[in-house]
Amino acid sequence: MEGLRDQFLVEGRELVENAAADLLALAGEPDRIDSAFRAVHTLKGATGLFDLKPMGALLHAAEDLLGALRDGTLSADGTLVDLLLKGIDQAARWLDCFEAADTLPADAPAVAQRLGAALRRKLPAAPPVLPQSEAAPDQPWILRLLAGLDPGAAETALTGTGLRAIRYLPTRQCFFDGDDPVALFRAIPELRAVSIAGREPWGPLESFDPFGCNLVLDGLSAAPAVEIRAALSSVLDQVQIVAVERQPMGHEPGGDAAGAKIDGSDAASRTFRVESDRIETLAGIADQVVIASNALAHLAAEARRGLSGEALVRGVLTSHAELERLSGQLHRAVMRVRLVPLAALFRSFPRLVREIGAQLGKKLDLSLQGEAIEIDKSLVDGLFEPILHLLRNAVDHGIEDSSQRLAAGKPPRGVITLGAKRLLETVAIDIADDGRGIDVETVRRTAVARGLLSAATAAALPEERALELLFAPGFSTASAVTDLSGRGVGLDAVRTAVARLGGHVMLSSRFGQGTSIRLSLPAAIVLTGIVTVECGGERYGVAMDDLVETLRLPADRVVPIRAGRAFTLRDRVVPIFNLAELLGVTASAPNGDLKLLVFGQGEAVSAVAVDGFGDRQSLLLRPRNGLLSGLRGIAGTALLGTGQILMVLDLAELVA
Amino acid sequence: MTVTLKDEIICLEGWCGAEEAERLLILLQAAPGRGVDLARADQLHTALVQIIIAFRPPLTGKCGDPFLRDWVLPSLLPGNRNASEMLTSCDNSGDEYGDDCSDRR
Repeated sequence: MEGLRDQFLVEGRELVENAAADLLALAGEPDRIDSAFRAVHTLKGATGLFDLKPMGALLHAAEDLLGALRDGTLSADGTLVDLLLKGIDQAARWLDCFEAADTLPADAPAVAQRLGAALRRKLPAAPPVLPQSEAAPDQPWILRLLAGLDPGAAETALTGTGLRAIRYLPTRQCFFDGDDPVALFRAIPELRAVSIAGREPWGPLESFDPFGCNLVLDGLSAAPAVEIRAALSSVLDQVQIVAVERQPMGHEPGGDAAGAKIDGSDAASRTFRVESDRIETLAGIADQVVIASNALAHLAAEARRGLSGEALVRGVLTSHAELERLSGQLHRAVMRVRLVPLAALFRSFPRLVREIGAQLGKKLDLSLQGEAIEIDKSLVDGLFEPILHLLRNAVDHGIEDSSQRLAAGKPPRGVITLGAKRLLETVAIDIADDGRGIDVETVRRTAVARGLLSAATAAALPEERALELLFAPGFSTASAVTDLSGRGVGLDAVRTAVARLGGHVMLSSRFGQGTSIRLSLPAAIVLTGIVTVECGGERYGVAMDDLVETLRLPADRVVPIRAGRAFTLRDRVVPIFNLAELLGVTASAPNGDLKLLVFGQGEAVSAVAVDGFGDRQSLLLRPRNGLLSGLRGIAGTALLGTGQILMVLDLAELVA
Repeated sequence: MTVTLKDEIICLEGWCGAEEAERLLILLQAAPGRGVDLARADQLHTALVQIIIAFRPPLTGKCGDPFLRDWVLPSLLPGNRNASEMLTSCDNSGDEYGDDCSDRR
């Protein structure tokens, strides 16, 4: 089911984007209505595989409206297209929710009802709204099925994840459609009871019609609804599924997916598509690795037969050179597999910016540049929230109202540019607007008012340093807290999220003319300098970038402070933590000097005591995922040359 | 031929597709009360299941298809409404009559 779900999410997003792009282009290219219709139709069909009834209902309404547009019984106008876009945007948000929480938010049925009704009102002759066949679990047919279970089985079944009652009413002509209802029904997993009976009275048997289906198939299954739907996916319009007892409720209702979360760390394991030629390249290299390894085996055989030392050395060197060449190729090929064009990241922004603009009543256009530039897949996932936040800021704080813009001698529609450039080993992503710019004096005043620094210091700051204050935690220049930007996350969160991806943020602004923000990111995952340390007999890694320094501290310089310990480093008191305690392992007995890792910035410098220092290496740091994703204080893992996995610690998180 | 008549017992064999439904119907309509033997039946198309449900012929032979045997056929045995009882009688009848049909081979 996982595979099906992943595929649905990938394709669902594509369909949503296609439909939105088609609708936006409709004014110039009316033919694209066909493509929009097909996209929505396909997506609607796919929702049937999962528990996404409200989404299906909404898309159904959109599909009807698109059908009417396609058939010419209705003509497209701006409000109609906006309404359709709204529906499709909602579907996109639900896809995000579904991915995050496996379910739709609690308000989904109401939202679907409202949006669907709005869409249907536009239809020439509105067809009756389909009844939501949400059957109550106390219907006679369900009670009959439950009564048929023997008491023990019923109890077992109900105390687990509950049962789902399935009623399948095949159409009369279903045999002609190639359906075999019994065969479909038997494929339902974990059946606990089945009843197949006549639907209408049979009538006189002499005139029995063997080609008309007159059956009702009822059943109880302990499988999740999604699996039942998958088994009956071709006939879902004829199927009713009712939860008999409590469903597994392991999930929080999905919140506002495009909301305040701005943490680049949630490396969602999204599926992504890889061009087939990149896979072929990998396969080609794999073949060559096999050949190289055979050559090595051959060499070993020769050595056993008494190959001379000289010749053996030559053979090993040749083999090594070949393997080194291949491993380099392999690394590059894998990197290329992981590279995805920025278009994948950028394509949802026009829709979101449109939405934000509409909410704030701002007239603006988003222009995209450099979508073909490729970056590592992991960066794409982590960049979405920061960029969205910056775009939201640009719309909310940057772009002025049309009247203000006209008064300032600017065109009435604002322009936001989201562009990417490749600069050597980095990719620069620029978010620029032609709005009001940032008033440095306001920034200074606000920073003083927030108590971030004194008035004198603020006044003395040069302009570019003053703009830096925008990134200070807790800073926000917006006097009115709006729904969009006033979420308590500021540029500091953007900076943190981008830093987590190995990048940094720069801001420049000209008052009255606009603001430009550049995110500089590594084009590919780079090797991280890692120092290994020993603690409790285990080896751990620490990223060198995190460290201020490593030092040996004579025991007599340690000062006890309350329950803890500290020492003085360049006139600053630095607390000492014990890594073994932080990790909950047994430390070896301390002897002599303390071995300390000093890390952190500004006032937050701390030190962690370890049993010993190891060597320094450049390793590919893999972000924590899978089982590790829930572990605090682990930055990721790195594969050592010996094939061992090294846990790389996030010291700041560990002591936090 | 997967639907055959032998000694007034209709034998269903192997995979019985929708196209066999008409023959089964004709055989049952010709002499209501003919038994149906499912011992060699693997899977029946819904069209045949529907005929068996509508005509409720006496069933003989332990059905080769567990889904039909366990879930569908029990409710068709005369006078039996309780699933577990029906299962037993279905099995018994299989022992009694099952060989009739298989002798044919």
